[in-house]
Amino acid sequence: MKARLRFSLVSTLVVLLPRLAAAHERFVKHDLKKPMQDAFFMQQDGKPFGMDPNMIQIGLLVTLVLAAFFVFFFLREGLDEFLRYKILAPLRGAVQRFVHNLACFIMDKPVRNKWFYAAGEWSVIMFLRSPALVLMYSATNDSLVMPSYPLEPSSAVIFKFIQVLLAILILTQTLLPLCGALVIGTWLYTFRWGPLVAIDAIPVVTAGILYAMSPWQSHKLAITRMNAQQTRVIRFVFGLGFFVLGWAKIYNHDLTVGVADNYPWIMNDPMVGFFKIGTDAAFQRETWVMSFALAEVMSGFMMMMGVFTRLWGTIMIIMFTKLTLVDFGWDEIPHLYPIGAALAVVTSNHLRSEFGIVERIERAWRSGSPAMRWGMVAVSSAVIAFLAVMPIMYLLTFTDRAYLR
Amino acid sequence: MTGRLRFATPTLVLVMSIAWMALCFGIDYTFNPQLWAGAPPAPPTSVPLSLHFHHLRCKGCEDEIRKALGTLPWLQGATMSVRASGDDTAAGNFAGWLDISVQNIPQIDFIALDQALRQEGFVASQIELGGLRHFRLEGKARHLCSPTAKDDCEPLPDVGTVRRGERLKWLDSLTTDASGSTIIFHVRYQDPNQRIDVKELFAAMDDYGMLPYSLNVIATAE
Repeated sequence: MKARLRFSLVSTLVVLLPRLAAAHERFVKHDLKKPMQDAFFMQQDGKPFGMDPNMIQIGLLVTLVLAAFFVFFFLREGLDEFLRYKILAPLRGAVQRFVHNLACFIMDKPVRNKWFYAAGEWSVIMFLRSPALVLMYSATNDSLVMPSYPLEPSSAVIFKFIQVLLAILILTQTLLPLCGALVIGTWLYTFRWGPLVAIDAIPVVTAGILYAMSPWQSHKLAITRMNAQQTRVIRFVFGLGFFVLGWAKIYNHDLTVGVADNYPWIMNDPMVGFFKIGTDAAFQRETWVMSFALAEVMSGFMMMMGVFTRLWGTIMIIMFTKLTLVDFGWDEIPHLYPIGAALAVVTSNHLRSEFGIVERIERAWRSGSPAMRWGMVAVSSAVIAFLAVMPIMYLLTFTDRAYLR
Repeated sequence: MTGRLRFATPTLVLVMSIAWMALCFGIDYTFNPQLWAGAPPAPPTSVPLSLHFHHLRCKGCEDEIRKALGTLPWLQGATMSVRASGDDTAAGNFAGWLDISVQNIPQIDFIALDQALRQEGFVASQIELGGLRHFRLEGKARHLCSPTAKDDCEPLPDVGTVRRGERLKWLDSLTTDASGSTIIFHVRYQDPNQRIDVKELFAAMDDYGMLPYSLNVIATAE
């Protein structure tokens, strides 16, 4: 996961040129304490596909884990049947309902529970309005959208008043489609500072999408639920943000490991440690960057594709909350953006995956040979996982990072 | 009555978003032309340095201050003039500004300036530097936590911690170099007539408990 902000919004924060990137990330320390072995991330003569074997190993392990998640997801109906008829059948009352709701939660099925429903309503309200707080906070800190994007003094007053106006519109739920356009337009403007800045700010777009898809008469309505279309678009963009941020961490590896150099305890993440197993200790920091980034790619891809959305969304909420309250502190308050989006998606009862065709084939083949069905699921999962990880990782080894120096 | 709900079409949202983005670019282009310029403008040949003293216009004080400043090589021959404004003009108030035009910008050393004045028994309440739009202050320190140090010394504070209220609003960030002996204070891009008060940085360094032995102005590219 991206200690995102994690670094994310850390790494963030924040890059037209690397120099600007560094400036934007100044709220989270990221000074590189010793140089990276840059060749590790680049094409190397005499190695398979020109890639470092440690990199390939990590990539394949992430692919394997990703494929396993897909297999479980595509076969979850069978697991649900097992749960329902073998485990829940002998249970009664509250225990049965709890286990059933928990299973529905993990398998991205509708959770029919009044508490969950109430939490969903609250989450949408939080997601809808909390960006206004971050906008206000940014305005008082001479920043744009989030405190890690400082405004130029000569134009700061204009952008600060605009942010306050936007925050008022959001808090009063007035002209939300216009608010959405302003948020999305501002995000497009961040490309002016380079693609890495815009990538970092993608979570902000999720709120803009919700606003843009709200009715013009939003001030007269109590908006407490997201429909299926809203849920799908927000989930996709939210996951896309992490997916791209993960790749950006490999591309801009010095910034990623620079944060770890200053906050070394974030290197102890168990999932990241798992992906590093068996790699060469001589490349400890390099393999950590790869594992860390690909863990984010994996979680972002599953969120983007709607696979175990609630599970990954919940992990992200916990991670972002921990990063804000424990690891990085007040400077990471923009994490409210992704926390709000994740809460709204996790508590939605309109979740579905982007691989409906595999699920439909799996359903249709249930009456046939189990081997055929499982084989189809296994092959589909392996192909999806491989294509999600390995090609981009390979292409990244050809990229020129000279401008980041 | 809410009436029939009306939604913005994707096309309309896209048009509004692009229009807003264009407006942001327009604001940026209008107010921050330096960001769009290909090469940064050459630094000026001289910069205004203004020192505020509570006793500048007392009998003899101005001469003593000029004499103290004259010991600094980069201020020898610099044009100086006394200015009183605001509360300084009230009867019985002998405070005022000493405006100096400094030509030898790379030699400016605020630590040396402060020490030269103290040597003669004076302290400037404000030290304002202007004339530069993009620059940084570079301090050399004997006791600075090395970038590679982890547990045995205290690293530099975050810029958010250093700022207090209006103090150091002009400070963008602070970094150390690889040697661990230089601290660099990056100044936010300045308006043409904007000035920074270096005494705010002195106060912050007093809070932190360390002072570099030199503090120079660097106007060249990093």
